[in-house]
Amino acid sequence: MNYRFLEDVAIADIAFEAFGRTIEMLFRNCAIATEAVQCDVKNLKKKITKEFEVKGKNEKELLYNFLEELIYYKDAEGLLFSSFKISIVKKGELHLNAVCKGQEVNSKTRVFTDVKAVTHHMFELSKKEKQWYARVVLDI
Amino acid sequence: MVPSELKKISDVVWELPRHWKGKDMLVPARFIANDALIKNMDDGVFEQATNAACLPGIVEHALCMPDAHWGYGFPVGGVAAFDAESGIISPGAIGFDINCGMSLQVTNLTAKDVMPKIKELMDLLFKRVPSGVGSKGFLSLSQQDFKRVMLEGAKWCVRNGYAWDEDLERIEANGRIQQADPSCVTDKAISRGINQLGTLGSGNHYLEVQLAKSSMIFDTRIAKKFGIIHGDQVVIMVHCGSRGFGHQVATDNIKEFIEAMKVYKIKVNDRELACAPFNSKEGQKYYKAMACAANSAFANRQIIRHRIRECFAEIFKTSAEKLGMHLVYDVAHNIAKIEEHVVNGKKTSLIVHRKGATRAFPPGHPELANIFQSTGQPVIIGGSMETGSYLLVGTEGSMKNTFGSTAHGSGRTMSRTKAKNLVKGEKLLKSMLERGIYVKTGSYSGVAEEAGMAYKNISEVVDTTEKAGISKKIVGLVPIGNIKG
Repeated sequence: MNYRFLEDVAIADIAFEAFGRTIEMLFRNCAIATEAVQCDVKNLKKKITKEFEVKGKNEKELLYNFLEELIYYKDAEGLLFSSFKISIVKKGELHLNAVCKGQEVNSKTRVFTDVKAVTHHMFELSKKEKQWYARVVLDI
Repeated sequence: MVPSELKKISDVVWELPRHWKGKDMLVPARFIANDALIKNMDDGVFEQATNAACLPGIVEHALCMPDAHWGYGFPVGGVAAFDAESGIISPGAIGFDINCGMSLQVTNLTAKDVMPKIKELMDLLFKRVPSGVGSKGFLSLSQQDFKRVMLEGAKWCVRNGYAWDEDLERIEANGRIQQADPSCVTDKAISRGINQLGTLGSGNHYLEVQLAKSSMIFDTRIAKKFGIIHGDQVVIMVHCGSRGFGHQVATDNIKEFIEAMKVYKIKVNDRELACAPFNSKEGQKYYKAMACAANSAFANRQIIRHRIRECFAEIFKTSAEKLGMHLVYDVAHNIAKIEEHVVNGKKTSLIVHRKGATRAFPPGHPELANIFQSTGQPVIIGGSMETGSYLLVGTEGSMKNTFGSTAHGSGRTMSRTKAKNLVKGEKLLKSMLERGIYVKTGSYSGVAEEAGMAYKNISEVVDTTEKAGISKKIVGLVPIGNIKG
């Protein structure tokens, strides 16, 4: 399982947990879950490529900053994404490079609910045995 | 489950004492609820209200209104007041959607005039008031213009032809919080929100055409003063906030506060309650940025009201003035305000945080415009799109018991994910149409999340605020048309 939405957490908002064999897979699955709240990811066109970098002192901060950036592009440029190529390197701080593919929202895009922000409430990132795990509550 | 230590103070007031769970609570936590509402309150509400009660400088008690439910960090429906000298300010106790709020305007039309044209009207409103994920407004503003919006709020709308002069005194704080300072806002927040003025957003945000029910005009004198004269009169309610701009202001500052807490040696039980002393450099910077976002929200709702006036004028082939489209009130329910309240018998300057709670000042309050001096401040309680809403007024009890605050809506009882699994949007729309409510939406799943069954009983919520003496029912309103983002 890549991610699943949680039913009885922060009821006015949307909570999900995501999994990944590698940290990059975990970040990708968190990104897809965040976009899936907002649109029909499967039918999104990959017309636009956006590349950006975010930094973080640790994996948790890096994930927060990465998801926050996706939400920023949704409002600032009307962009929603369905494909993510992620690489993470440690250069003092952790640096994440993301190449995201998607499209600008138009009247034909099947959109769902707007995400306002990533919250710190119950925000978790950990490695359990061979699996990376994250829990995220998005403000709706 | 209701904590066993919860003590009943009166019919509709409950309290968790300071020693609850051995936490470092500085004050007790109080809950305004009747027996049924308290029994069904989420566990998260008790946990989060008591976390808020641990924040430095909190006075008297952390409060939850009857519509309270589990939020992030601070409960939705929460009120907390901090000493302006020694207390903190916390973005999480305001919400990401700074100055999310409600607006109500009247018309002189009746159901008989509007029902035959309801589809045409809602379709036009849907076109003219953009909603949903990624929507942009019709205004193209320069950064300089947007900074004027931050400084002037609704007054910017008057100067640019999007408001009537009379609108300003019918908006909380006259639609402008004076401490706004655009130099405290990041470029990222500006670029996130500059294209969104005049947009509704999504989630629980809506634009609703409603009828005042004659059987639900509870105070004819005050209703008349607010322009609601007879049953079946058509009114329009809007629920939205500061859009991406405000969301980014909160995001930026929570990050800064997480770092600042190390400097000020503040510990919180939930990172989402990150805070800084109100009088610190960081606290003041956030407050000034929050005021910018609040002012942009006042402008946002005003621009939406302007579009509503245009749409009604177009459909009914006359002017908005001739249709009597006056604003009743526009009020924030996610905000922090500097207010004077009596604490331990002394007038004290407080920074009152309201997250999903509405200011409810009583008649005679010096901050109210002359037109509301004899009535008290209008309070708009938005219900679910299936069940209706209420217009209330603030009463003296709010100043004594809840720092001049009351509820803001019905309050959710079910998560969005659960509601979506139980309800199908298309089916719900069909059934609502059969019941005389035409819903226009860009998202069926968004509609399913907002189904009436996901909310508390709104009548029970407003009756409880009346019993607690913190607000008084004036008119009940039922939906006939709804735009859901």
